[in-house]
Order: sequence, then structure tokens, then C-alpha cells
Amino acid sequence: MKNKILTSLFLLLVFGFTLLDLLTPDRAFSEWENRELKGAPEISVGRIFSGEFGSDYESYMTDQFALRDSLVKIKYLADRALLKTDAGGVYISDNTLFVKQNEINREYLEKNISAMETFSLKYPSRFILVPSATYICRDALPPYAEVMDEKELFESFNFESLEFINIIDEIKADSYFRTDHHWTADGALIGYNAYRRTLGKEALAKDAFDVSEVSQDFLGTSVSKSGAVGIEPDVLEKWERGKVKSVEVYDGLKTSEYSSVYFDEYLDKKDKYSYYLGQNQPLVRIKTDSEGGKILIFKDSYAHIFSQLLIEDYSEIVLVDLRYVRERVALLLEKTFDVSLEDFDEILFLYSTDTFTTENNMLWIR
Amino acid sequence: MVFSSLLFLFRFLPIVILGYFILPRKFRNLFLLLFSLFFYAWGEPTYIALMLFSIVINFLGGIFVDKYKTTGSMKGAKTALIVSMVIDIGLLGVFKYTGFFLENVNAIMKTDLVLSIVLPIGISFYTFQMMSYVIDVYRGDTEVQKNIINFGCYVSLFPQLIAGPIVQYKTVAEQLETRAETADAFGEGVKRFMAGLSKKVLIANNLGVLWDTVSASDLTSVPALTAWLGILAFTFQIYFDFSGYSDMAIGLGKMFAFEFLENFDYPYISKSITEFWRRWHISLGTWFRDYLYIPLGGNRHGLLKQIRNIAVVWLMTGIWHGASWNFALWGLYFGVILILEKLFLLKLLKKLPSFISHVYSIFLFVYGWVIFALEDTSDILVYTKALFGSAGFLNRESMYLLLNFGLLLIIAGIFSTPLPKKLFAALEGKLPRLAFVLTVLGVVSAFVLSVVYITASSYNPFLYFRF
Repeated sequence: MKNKILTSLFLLLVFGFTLLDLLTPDRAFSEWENRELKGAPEISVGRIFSGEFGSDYESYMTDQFALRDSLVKIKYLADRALLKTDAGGVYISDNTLFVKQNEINREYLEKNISAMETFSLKYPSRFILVPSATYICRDALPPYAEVMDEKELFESFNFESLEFINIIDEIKADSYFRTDHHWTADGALIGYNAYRRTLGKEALAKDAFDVSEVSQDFLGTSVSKSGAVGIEPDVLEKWERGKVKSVEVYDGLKTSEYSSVYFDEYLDKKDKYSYYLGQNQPLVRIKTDSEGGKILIFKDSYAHIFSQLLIEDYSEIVLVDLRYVRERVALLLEKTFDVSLEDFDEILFLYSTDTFTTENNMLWIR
Repeated sequence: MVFSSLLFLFRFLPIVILGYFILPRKFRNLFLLLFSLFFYAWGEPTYIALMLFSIVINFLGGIFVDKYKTTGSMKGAKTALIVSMVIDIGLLGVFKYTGFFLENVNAIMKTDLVLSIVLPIGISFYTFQMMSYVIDVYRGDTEVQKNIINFGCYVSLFPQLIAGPIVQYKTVAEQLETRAETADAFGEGVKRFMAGLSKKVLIANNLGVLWDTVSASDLTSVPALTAWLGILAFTFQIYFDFSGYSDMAIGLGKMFAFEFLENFDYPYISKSITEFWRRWHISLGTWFRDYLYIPLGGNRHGLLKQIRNIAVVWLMTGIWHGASWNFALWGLYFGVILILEKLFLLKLLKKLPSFISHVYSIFLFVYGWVIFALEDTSDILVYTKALFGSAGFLNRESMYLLLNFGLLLIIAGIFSTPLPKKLFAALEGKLPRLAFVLTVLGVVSAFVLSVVYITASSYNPFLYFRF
């Protein structure tokens, strides 16, 4: 009798899951994982005998498996129950997630530094490097978690032509999102005030901006990477000061024009950080009503939330993401926005430690 | 195909269960044969031809051995046996050892011969199974099988096809012809299969992460604590992986009314290495005993010959596990320990408190896994030094790994002893209802969690993309 119950239960589970899976329609895209899911594989005699069909079918089945997103969340909880303190390359701490730091690629680092130095001889530039939340919040990490000493890196810089603005002692634990690796607008303001100081300008307080909450349920990249559940979402704020005339975004093929630096459509998606200036694109130009000068920023996505703070102070803000540029920047700017490097009053390199020490795209600024 | 995949659990298995029990008795072996071939072909579409060829050769081998025996020609029978064995060992040699052989030729002769042959899945297992059949027919230990469907079904039976146990023909000969599927046996199979699936997916795979982390780091700078955590993780990974697979095989067998012999018997509680090898991969040990050690003379021709026989068997056991020197070394390592135990250690161990014999055995088999797990023999040396603190005793990473995997290691430790089973049996005696409720909960949660971990292993978020 008992074995009969077990048998029925097992058959129920096997056939139940199978039916549920067969009845679940395929999805093309997973917002939770932010990637396209595999579709049904092509079938042909050749592909069957090479084993390709077999392995493609398995990936297809796993990608499209019923309840996939929920199952992944249960795994996170089970891992936590086993006292694991990381998941998918993310450290899990009290209601906060920290992305593990990547190891510094010394070769890339040297190349980036020397390209910037050479560039700065001709076009004097400033450089802000944003330390990772993982380093800044090292005391909040799980016990014995490995942390790379970024201060050592910051203090090892010895620039000659480039003006390095060191913010590592000013930036604070609450300068970052808890569920995403980016800094918050508060963090970005610390960076911007440090920048203003080098220009001899006064620091701005938060109340200089018209601050409003735009989303209370931002679960960022760290949540996606770890599959974490039960983490309180972050709040996204818009910090307005000054008026935008136009925002031109060059995506590598064409230029589109927008009226705001805020992309509302991302507030309904999972990737809410893209509310600020959309996703990474090769070139962005923000024209404002302001009388100020023109600034060129070589950047990664940390500059997106940063740019909104500059609107009152500059008439033009041009952002270049070298990771998506495959030609000389001078030429690209000329071609796309009809500006030359000489036209800019200020030039800033704004990078997170991770991008700056693990990627090598600086050659395009020569 | 592997058992621990969505494909097996939610496509293959339901179709096989449905088809098998709908069909009348006389078609069931054919059905199993066809689906087993499909199971095999999923990962290795081309090597199916090799397996079919072997099946035909050994089937004919059995027929001819039997034919000559019944006509009284032992010489003819012997020839038929030798021919089939030469082909079996020849194929195994070519497909498993060619690359290794050429590597060594290249090293000695400074040549540059390359011939890459992908190892056919399960060839070591099914070759040994078929050899046991022809030899047993020759010895008169079993009847000849005249139906190629039944024979093919025996060889390719998907539960045990890829990773054992090495089922000897004589142990299932009767079941091939007459077996009675019952809901009761199916239920027993369910319990066994679920135990095996969770051992593999929940324990082995997760501890594999720890071993992968440790073995991928620069071994010269691994502190002792990390090195020990790593090899303990491997120790449990290989046990839960392999015995989990055997449990799944035995469980699936039961569902279709096959009774396979046990393959593992809590090897890690052994008090000597002799005992360890009576409890670890029993079907392989039995095979080598029956078809190599005893034919070589076993222990019947004096101590010297016995030592030689042990050495030969263990060298072979080592190489059977893989075509690489570290496996040969691993086999010899156990060969030497077993000879020493035979000579005097076993007597000594019996006199010592059992605590000491446990420590002795645990140290030796755990260290054995260092030799087994690291294919590069120079890594073995480096790792050995690391175990004894050549790069310090601990660092932040050691502590981090200890905290993150400690609980799982303890759970693995407990479940590699018979303690949970004993406690459960006691509960069953006193409170059978509660025990049954726990079994039901256990089966359901093991099932769901296994599916969770299998699905999540492909969790692959993509975070930076533009278009």
C-alpha cells in the first residue's frame, strides 16, 4: 500500500511536470535573466548524427522549462539555507548585494593609463575613478570574503598630465544601490562636487536639485546575477537642475533624438537603471538651455546617473562610451555631431574601477 | 543522456514508463532495447554502431562457445571464447587507450603522432559486462542466450549502461525471461532512484563546485586548510556522484522488475583499505576477482604469486578508470597498501582501537583521491606538499570556503555513514506512520529540489548588452 502511494506520487510528479512543461508556451526573452532564450532547434539528419541536435534540444528544453524563474529562486533560498554567502559572483549581506571584484588586468591598466596621459598632453583632462561598493563597504561583506584593496590602486597612480580626482575617502557606503553595482545620485554628487572643487566652484547640496522618486522597486544587476530573492528594492530618484533642449543618441548606425535625459519606458522593465540615458551607446549629446561651456566625458555606465547633475552648468554634454567605439573618437565626433576635440572646454574620464582595470578600449582616443 | 537532466526526467522517462507498461510482456525487452539504444545514441549517435557490433560479436561468441561445448570440443569453445575476448579487449584498447599510448610513444621516441579518438561513453562498463557473459558460458556458470533481443537488452539496458554497476549476465539471466513488475517493486525503485538523484544533484554537484574552485587555483599557493577542504569535497563528490548513479540504476531497474546487485556499501566507514575495496564499486572488484585474480591463481600458489596477482589486478583496476598514468599510479598505490595489509597491517589494525583504524583508512583513501583527481603527476606532488602546509595553513579564502561549504560537508559526512538509515529504521519500527509521512515528504522535496538545481545550473543571466 505504502509503495503504491509512493509510486503514484512519483508518477504524478514526473507526468505532472512533463505536462506542465509541454503546455507552457515558449518565451523568446527572459527579462529576469536579461537574455534571449533558446528556441526549438533545427532538425536535420546531419545535425542528429553530429550530436548537435541533441545538445541544442537540451539547452532549449532547459531554457524553456516550466516555472524556470521560480525554480531558480528556490535554488537561491536552498543555497542560503546551506549558509552560502555568495551566489553567481555576488556576495550576499544584510539586505545588500555586492558584486565580486574582478582581478585587475595589469596590462590593460598600463595601456589605459598611458593612452590617457598622452591624450591629456594635448587635451588637458581630468579623471574620476569610482571605487566599487564592494571595497567601500568591505566591513559589511560576509565573513572572510575576499576584497581587493582598491585604495592601494588609487594611491599607486602617478599621473603627469592628467589631473586625477581621488574620491575614495569621500565616497560612502550609502553612495551605492543595494541591489545594483552602480552608484546612486547621492554618490554621483560626491563625485561631481569633487570635480567642481578642482574647478574652484562651490559644492552643491542635494537641495540644489529638484529631487523626486520615480521608482520604488528597482532590483538591479546584482539581483539578476545572484538570482536573489527577499532583498528590499532600491529607490530611483530623478535629480533635476536646469533644462534640457535635446538628447541625441548615436547607436552606431543612426542618431535618434529625445527630449529628456530620463527614459521612462525602462521604469516598467527590469533593467531600471537605464532610466538614466538609456542603455550604453557609443555617443550621446545633451544640449541644454544653460549658458555654460561644453564638456566631453569618456565614460562607462556610472556616468549615466552622473550626467543629470551637470545640466544647469553646461550648454553641451557629450558622452563617449569607448567600449562601443571602433574608430578614432575625433573622427567619430566630427562625423556624427560635427564637433572636434578642440571645441570642448573640459574633458573628463569617468570610470568605475571594474571597467577601468579590466577593459582596454582607450586606443580610440589617440 | 544522463539521469540528472530535464530531458531524462521529463521526456525520456515518462515515455518509457508509459510505453513499457502499455505493451504486452513479450514486447517489453524489445521496447527496452530500442529505448536504451536511443538513450545511448542521444549523446553518441555514431558510437551506437560500435556498441551494436560488440553486442553481435559477444552474442555469437556465446552461441559458438555453447555449440562447441555441446559437441564436446573444448578446444573449439576455447577458440571462440578467445576470439570474442580479443575483439572486446582490442576495441577497448583502441578506443580508450590509443591516445594515451601515442602520448607515451611520442614522449619516448620524440615523435609527434596524434590520433584523437573520443572515448565512447560506457565502453569500459559494457565491454566488461559482455566479457563476463561469454566467459560464464564457457565455464558453464550460465546458460547461453539464444535470443539476441534479450542479450541486447541485457547489454544496453539504460539504467546501468553508462556508469554501471557492472551487471554480470548470470545475475539477471532469469529476469530477462521472467520477471514480475509490481507496484510494490516500483515503489521501492522510486525511493532508491530519488535517493540517488538527490545524492548526485544536491550533494555531489554542489561539492564539485568547491573542488573545482580549489583545483583551478594556483596549487603552489594553496594553504593546507584549502587543500584539505578541496580534497574532502572531491572525496564526497565522487562517492555521492558514483553511488548516486548506482542508486538511480538500481532504482530504475526495480521499476522494471530487474534486481541489480549492490555496488556500494558505505565505503567511507571502513577500518582498513581491504575493507574499503569490499565496499567501494563492488561490481568492479567482483569482476576483477572472478575474471582476473582467481584465474591468475589467486592465493592458491603461495605468497609470492599472490602478491604478484594483487599487483596485476590493481594495476589493471587503475588503468580501467582512465587512460592516464595517474590512474595506474592510483591502482598501484592501493595494490601496495593491500599487499602490506595482507602481510601484516591487517593483523595490527585489528588489535588497535577502531578509532585509529578509521583514521588510518580515511587518510589513505582520501589521499588516494589526490592521485585520482589530478591527472598531471607533478600536480600530485605539489598538492601533497600543500596538504602539509607548504604554502601556509590558512588564509581568508580558506576560512571563506570553510564557512560556505562547511555545512554541506558535514551533511555529506553524515550521509556517507549508515547512521541516517539506521535512525530511520528505528523510527519506522516505533512510529511507522510518521516514518511514512517523512518518506513522502522526502521523496517530494528531493524531487523538487533536484529539479530546481538541475534547472538553475543553466541560470545564465546576461547583464551587459546593447541591442
